[in-house]
Amino acid sequence: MKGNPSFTSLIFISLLAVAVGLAGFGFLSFKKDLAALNKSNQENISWSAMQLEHELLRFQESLLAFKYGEDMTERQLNRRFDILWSRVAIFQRGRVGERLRSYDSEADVLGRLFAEIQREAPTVENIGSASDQEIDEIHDALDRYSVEMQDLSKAIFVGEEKLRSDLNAQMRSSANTTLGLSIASVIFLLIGLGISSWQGRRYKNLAHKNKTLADVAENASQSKTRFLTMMSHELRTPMNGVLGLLALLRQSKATEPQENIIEQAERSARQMIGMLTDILDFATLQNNDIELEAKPFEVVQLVETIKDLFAPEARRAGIEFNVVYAKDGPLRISGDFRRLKQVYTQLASYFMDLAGVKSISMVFNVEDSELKAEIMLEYASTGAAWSPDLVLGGRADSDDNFAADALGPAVARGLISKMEGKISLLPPRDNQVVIAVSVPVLPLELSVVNVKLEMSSDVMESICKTALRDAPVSFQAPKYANEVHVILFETGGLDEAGKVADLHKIYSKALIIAIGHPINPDIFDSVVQIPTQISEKIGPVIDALAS
Amino acid sequence: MINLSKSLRSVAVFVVVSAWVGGAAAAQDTMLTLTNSITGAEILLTEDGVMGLDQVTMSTTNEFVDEMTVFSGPLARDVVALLGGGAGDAVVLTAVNDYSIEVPVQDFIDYDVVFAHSTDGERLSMRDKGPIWVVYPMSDNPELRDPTYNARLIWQLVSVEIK
Repeated sequence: MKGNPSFTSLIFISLLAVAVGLAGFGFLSFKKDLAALNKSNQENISWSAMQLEHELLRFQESLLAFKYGEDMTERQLNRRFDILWSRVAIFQRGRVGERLRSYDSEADVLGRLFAEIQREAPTVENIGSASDQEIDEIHDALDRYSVEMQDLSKAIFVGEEKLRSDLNAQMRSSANTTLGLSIASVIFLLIGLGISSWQGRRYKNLAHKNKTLADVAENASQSKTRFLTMMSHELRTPMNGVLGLLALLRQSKATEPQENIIEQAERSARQMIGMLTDILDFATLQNNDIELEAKPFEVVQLVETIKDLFAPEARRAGIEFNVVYAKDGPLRISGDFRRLKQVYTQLASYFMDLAGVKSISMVFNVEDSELKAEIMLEYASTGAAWSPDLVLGGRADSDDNFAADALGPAVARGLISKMEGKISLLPPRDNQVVIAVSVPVLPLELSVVNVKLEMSSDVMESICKTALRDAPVSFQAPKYANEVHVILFETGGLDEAGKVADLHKIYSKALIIAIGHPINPDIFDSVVQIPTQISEKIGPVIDALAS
Repeated sequence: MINLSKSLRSVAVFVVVSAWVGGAAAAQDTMLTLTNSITGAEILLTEDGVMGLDQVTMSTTNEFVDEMTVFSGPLARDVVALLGGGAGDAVVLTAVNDYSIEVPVQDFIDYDVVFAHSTDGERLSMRDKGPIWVVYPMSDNPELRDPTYNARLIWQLVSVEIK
């Protein structure tokens, strides 16, 4: 049996339901019989019938006692008559009467006796004036019913005994049935528990086997990754050595053909180092060891970096290369700059080196908390074509035909996926292939850093402002002292320490940066010796404010 | 132990006086004889005496009536209380045909047992379970639908004795 949890649960629940059903059926059956027996006992009609028979005889005795002047008054006799009447009346009403009558349906002794009693009532009520003959007639008339009443009492007694006996037998049968059903329920439950236990052990074994297999696979994967990492390192070291030697060789007086050979050798070496770096990255991705680090940066910084990296090579190769930022969104975002740069450089490198394109355009934008890039490729009439499978991930990464050209795009795709982004192909635009890459980022509101200048000369003030002309800073005095973020303090004046102490007191939240050579650098938050370095010091302040 | 309320004491005194001393009252038949075998007290309740007690009505059914029936009469515990204190915890109920049964007094405390003299507004005659039929509230108390309590539905009640 190919067991699965739902199937086992179904079996167990079914067995449990059957067991509960059987036990419930047995209980209800037993309860019903018990109720019937109780009812039977409750309605002790044998006693009622015997009482009637008894009262009939007592009245007859009283009648004779009255006739013979014994201790029986007219009033006492009538009371006996009333009691007899009431005993017959019992048979006329209620469930007791109904059951008593059921034994008398054919002979109708009770009906006839009641009619007789009603007939004799006037005489009995005036028994004082009745003759002995009339008394005898009453006695004889009732006496005729004595034997019939005896027979009726006997029939009722036997019938009730039989009914009770039948009910007792039924009770015993129900008890036995309930016992059997209970045993069956227990057996069903035990079977269910057995199956459940067996399945539990089976799943436990399967889980253990799966874990072992997973551990083996994991170990194998880690071994492979370790091997790749180690070999990449090992290969990169001598290759750097080769590059160093080639650089030395270039410094010697080589002929032009030799220069060309050296350049080709250098290019090949750099390609190989790049490939080794890619292998390392790919292995890291496969091993899921990559950690992302989100930091604020300017999108234009990413754009410029990519442009600087590929523009020279594009010029050499005669490829039109444009990278722009649409500037529709915020200038600053929070994301992993290094990994984003790696994604776009890998893609740009693939398209430039291997896809044989005529032009490449990369347009960046920030929209809906995503850094979006549209990469547009235009092909020359001849040349290689890009492979959508490599870039978009149509084939499995573990394909046996994994070629060297797939490495870069695979690393890019892995990084995009790691950053929860996506890469897709859009409809062609102006005969250009359009690939869209989007990665979630956190757009940051640009904050203006309020800078206060504490300068002793206008020249220094102008230099500082010039140094910060591209930074998001304001030199306007804010409304409140605690809104001043940075104070640029020109050193060299009198009582530096006193002035700085006063500034700290007034602008408690401001960062005080010394420009020049302070007497005591420790009283400043930072020191720059030349004003052009100010923007580097203010950068972290901007990041802190933005994030 | 049975507590005798002030009002019930008054009724008891009235009944005893009317039964033993009053000439006109003596002419009326005794409907119910109450005896306390512990204290030796005896009360002879005439019809007026029974009717002079607080009356209640109770709707119930049992094995001897066709349908839900309204029974009227004094509560059994009020009647028994007429006999005053004593250590008795059971009463012997006796019918006109000398049939008797012992009933725990606790029954009368736990349940509103009625000494019914009327059903559906009609007085019970001797020929129809009169003068008094002891009725338990079986419809409202399913636990009373039992052979033990069925046997306590004694009719033609004429005597109550505390033991």
